[in-house]
Amino acid sequence: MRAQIKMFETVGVLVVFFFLLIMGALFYFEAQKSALEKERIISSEKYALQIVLKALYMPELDCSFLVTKKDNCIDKIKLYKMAKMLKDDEVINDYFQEFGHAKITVKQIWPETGETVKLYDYEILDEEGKPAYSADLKTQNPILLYDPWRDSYAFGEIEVGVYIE
Amino acid sequence: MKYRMPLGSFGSSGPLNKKGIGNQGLPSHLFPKGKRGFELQFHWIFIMIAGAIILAFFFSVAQKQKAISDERLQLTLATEIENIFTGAIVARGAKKLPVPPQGIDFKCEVGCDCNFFIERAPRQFGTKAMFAPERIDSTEMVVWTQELKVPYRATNFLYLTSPDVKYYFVYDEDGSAAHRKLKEITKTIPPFIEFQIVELDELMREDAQEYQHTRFVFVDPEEKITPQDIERMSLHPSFTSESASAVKIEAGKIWFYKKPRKTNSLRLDGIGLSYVGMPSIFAAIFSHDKIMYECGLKIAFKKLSYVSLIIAERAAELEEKALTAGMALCSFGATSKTCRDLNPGFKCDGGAKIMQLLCRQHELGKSLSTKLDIQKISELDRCKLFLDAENRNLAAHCPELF
Repeated sequence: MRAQIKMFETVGVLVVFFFLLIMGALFYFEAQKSALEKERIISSEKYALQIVLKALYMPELDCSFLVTKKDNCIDKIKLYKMAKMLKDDEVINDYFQEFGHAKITVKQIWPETGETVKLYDYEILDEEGKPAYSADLKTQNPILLYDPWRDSYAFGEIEVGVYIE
Repeated sequence: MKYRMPLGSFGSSGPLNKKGIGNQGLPSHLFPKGKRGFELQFHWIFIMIAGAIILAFFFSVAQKQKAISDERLQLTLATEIENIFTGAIVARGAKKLPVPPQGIDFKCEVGCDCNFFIERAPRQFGTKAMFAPERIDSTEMVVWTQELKVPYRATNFLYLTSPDVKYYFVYDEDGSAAHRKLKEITKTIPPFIEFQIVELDELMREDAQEYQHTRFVFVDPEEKITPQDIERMSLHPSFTSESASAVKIEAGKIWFYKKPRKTNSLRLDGIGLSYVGMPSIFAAIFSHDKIMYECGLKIAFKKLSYVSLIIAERAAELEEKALTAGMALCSFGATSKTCRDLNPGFKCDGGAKIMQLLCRQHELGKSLSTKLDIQKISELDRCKLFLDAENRNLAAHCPELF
């Protein structure tokens, strides 16, 4: 009888011990999950900045000519031509390696014309072809927009949104 | 007087002899005889099983956590290194950067599946034309960027090397062209990269030094020695157990060599490949092998095909604008707005206009991104010269093209 009581005592101790252990583990894993989520957001932000950097130095878009060379500048004709080119599935798949699941838009800010060009958009889609992302983290950067038709510059911004699953 | 017996872990007790040992040579308080003895033995088995389970649980959690944190660290490092490479490829010039203690491995497989690894965490080269040794595990690495100009910038080449790689530039003293080419190469190399110039006759006397890898660069634009001559040559015997490789730079071709283990001679690695300008010569020098060089060039040509198409369409737009503004001299040869509608079959020659040359470059780039071809590369070189001349002619009185 005494042994049985002791046995129950032991089992009780073990139950309490495992209960506490599971609670601790649950708490720990939940904390880990939220830390991981934060890390994912930070890494997506960094990724967005990388895309901005890549886009600004792309020979497909830059304002680099024989006499003039401007940093952080996008040529308007090149921008329109590239946006048109990226409508082709084969081309956008090639640029996917560079930009990944993201959306790049270029907007003229001053002089205000309301001009916005969607350069690249590659969403995360599910098997049925519906959008399957939880958020898109946006990063904006100021740029110069060169208008070769008028040989003038305007202020604009490049916005990069990174799609997160 | 009652003797209080020592208690078992679960409060059970049992008689002890003087030495505290039971009848079977085991501590009698642990394994007493009879029903109580059975109970106690069961207790101890139970304790051991429970203890083992608890221990195994903690051990497996710790192991899993270690594996996850290692993997996370590798992935974070790989991402950081990728960001560094992206930053370096858009910047100009050379710089020294720290290397993670795990080192960085670079590998390109047939089919151009190129990756760099931080231990087991891979990252694709993607659209970056990168050229690196097989492994960098020194504390610092040298990153150097050069533009591939045709004559506009098509892409940037990123060269990576380590202070643990020694470069020997080998040339034939009798060749003046070799001397000129050597000078052209060595004066461009940034000061962080250590190299030594040796004459062909002296190569045999150069013994192996304490480097992880040695790269021999045979500069032979006059093709005084055949690629097979290098195979017949012997390095200093001290190279037998060392890691080494070589490239031979000719007027229009580059040959790659590997040094088999436990030998002091070099073996040709496939057929010779063509190159386009100095940036691709450096690409060959800094590439681990022929595959990495070939893949890097293919990436660059793919990019060229897109850049040339955009510039060609830009030329068509500007020509339209120039004609509207009455600038009749500004003709880029744009008979249509896109390369697709332009009469195909143009070749890069003196009679071609800018738009035709750019569209031809687009075609060449597209074709070279799948297969390197010496004739197409030399045509690309001609295109570059004609385009440069045309662009300079028009720059004075027309909108800037590139």
